[in-house]
Amino acid sequence: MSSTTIETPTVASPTAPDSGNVMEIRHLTKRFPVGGLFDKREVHALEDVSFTIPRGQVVSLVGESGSGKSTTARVLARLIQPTSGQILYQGRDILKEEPRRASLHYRNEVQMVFQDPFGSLNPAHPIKYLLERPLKIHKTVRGSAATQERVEELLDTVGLQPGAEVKEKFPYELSGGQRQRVAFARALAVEPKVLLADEPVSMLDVSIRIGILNLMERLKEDNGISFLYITHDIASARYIGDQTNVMYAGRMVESAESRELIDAPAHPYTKLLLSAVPNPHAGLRTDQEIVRGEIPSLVNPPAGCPFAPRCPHVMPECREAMPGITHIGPRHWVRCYLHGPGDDRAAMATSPAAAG
Amino acid sequence: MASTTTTTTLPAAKAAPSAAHGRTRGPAAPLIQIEDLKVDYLSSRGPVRAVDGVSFQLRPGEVLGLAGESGSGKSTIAQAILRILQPPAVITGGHVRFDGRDVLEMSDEELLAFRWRDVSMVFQSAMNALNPVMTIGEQIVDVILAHENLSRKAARARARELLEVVGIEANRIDSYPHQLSGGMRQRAVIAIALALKPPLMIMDEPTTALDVVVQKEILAQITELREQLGFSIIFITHDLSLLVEIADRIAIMYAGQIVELAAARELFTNPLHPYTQGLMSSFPALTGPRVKLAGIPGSPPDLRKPPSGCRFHPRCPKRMPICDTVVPLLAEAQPDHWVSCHLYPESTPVGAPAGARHAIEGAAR
Repeated sequence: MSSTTIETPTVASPTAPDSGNVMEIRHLTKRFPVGGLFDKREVHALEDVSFTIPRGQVVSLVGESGSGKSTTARVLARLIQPTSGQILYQGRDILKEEPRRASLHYRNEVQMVFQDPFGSLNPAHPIKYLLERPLKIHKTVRGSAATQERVEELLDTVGLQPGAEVKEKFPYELSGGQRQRVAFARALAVEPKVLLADEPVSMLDVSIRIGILNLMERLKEDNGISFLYITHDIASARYIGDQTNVMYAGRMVESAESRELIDAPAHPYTKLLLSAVPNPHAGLRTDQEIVRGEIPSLVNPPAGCPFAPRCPHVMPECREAMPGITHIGPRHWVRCYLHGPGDDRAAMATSPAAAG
Repeated sequence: MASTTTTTTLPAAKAAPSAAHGRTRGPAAPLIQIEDLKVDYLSSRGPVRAVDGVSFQLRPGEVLGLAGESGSGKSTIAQAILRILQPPAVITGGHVRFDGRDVLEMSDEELLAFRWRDVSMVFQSAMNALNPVMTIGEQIVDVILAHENLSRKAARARARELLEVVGIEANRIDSYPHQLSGGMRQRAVIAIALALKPPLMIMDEPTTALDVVVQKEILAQITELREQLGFSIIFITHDLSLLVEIADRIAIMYAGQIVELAAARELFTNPLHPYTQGLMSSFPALTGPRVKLAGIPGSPPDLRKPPSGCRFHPRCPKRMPICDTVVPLLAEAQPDHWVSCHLYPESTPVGAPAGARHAIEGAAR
């Protein structure tokens, strides 16, 4: 029950305005073809998604299943190829520079941690093997003594002590939380700059989750790692996320500093999401909007805002075209006609550095 | 399992919590009474006790939340009540009394009548609980015909009614499960559980696989149905924040035992057990100042070799010497608030060594 207030996260280090962001994602679109020869349809998994990951910050993506959160992470990890759009990594247009597959260098610096710690660790090998492999592939250390030392150091970093003992164990001998720590250790082995964490705590027991979130916070503070934290739990996004982006049906509909997003949500979908979170602390929230329905089919979706069919404030223009980005605060933007038609070009510049 | 203790008094709600929902029943007659239930999983290395001496009771119309982490035994209890445990799980002791009868002593025929008519269950993976090659209508009709002497036509009419009750348009009766969304499928599963209007429904993580918005809808639906039909619910989940909203009382389980039992609000505002307190500081709040949470150090114990004394002692920040050796009893430390922890003298069995009840500095660090 210890409670020390977390200090307000410092905004990206004030160097050149352009280098404030380790990653900048512009108009990312991903369509998956479905159907047969005569029935060509497409799943619009991502539509015009733009956001930034400032250096040394945690950017959260929240949304329901099917909203495109995981697809975003997989595109950034270069596990799947986007249909169009740009990914600027350290200012480099990597889809242009490395069009077919990502370079070893990129894969080294941008690592991914998956949801399921039971599925993501090879059960046939001890922990040390799982950690040695990235060290060998990426040639970060030489010699077996140095390798073992590094393995133990990594386990120590993620809070698995004593490393000398833990490294001999097999995944089945570890609990879910410990396995997820190993997954983080494996990602850290190559000293990445960015970690894409896809629902890293949702399969863990409640009492363990906070430990992993605190670990991420520590890696951010101590190692300067930038995070993309994907979650359906908006409260945890508020807990560690500096900036939170809300996704709905493949679109990013709102972005704000995490606390502001929850205290002053602008998009009707964000409001709906917040009203649905079980919150025993509440009793205050009066702006409950009762909206039924689920995320629409992403196969050949109709034009306009995807939330229009469920939206309590729907207007005629909502069904015609998706609104652009409207800035309503220094680090807060929304795509909703209630706040204005928005500016399409603004999608390019959504970084706090550019906006603030 | 050194000293398993049979609690003589059963934790029950004295002030009928259901009164708040407009029902005024006498304080007597619990609907179901679980006494000292024990379930073992037999393994080659000896039995593993998954449920160890669990006792609680439920009044008509009450919602009892059963919360705990994976492996705490909450789902095993549900399956023991319905006697649908599969080997190697074996009920090794205790009683489950329903309406004056002991479920654990029922014959196979009695069980067939008991299941679904008296107690129905909504399973954890409701998405997969439906048969993919049968329409939802057929699946509801099946349940009705298995238990009631009705014509197929009458059963189908009932099925349409049931679908409307759970918020599915009756014309979806001939839909296959894959044609329904996750939330709709969950509603269909609830319709099947309601088919015989049982007085008790056990819901095992009914909303875990659903998105929050859909979860909210399903919970609202369940609450509404309960108010209309007056059934009781044993609601099993790991999500304590959700229970505070839906349950009248909450039992917290840890490593096969109930460690705390109280009215939902009371448990939330005044948790007594260090484990419950730890759980409360494990989920970040949506409102208020952003505080650093501690969670609970360590992980739940391996039930093949559970810790001696209090099972929570290796992770407990308030551990005392007595906790290592003496098993605490679930006792009423405050009115209607039951806890199993040596911090409360009521929990320490008579004759336990004195002088051992002082905190160890830096315990569980």
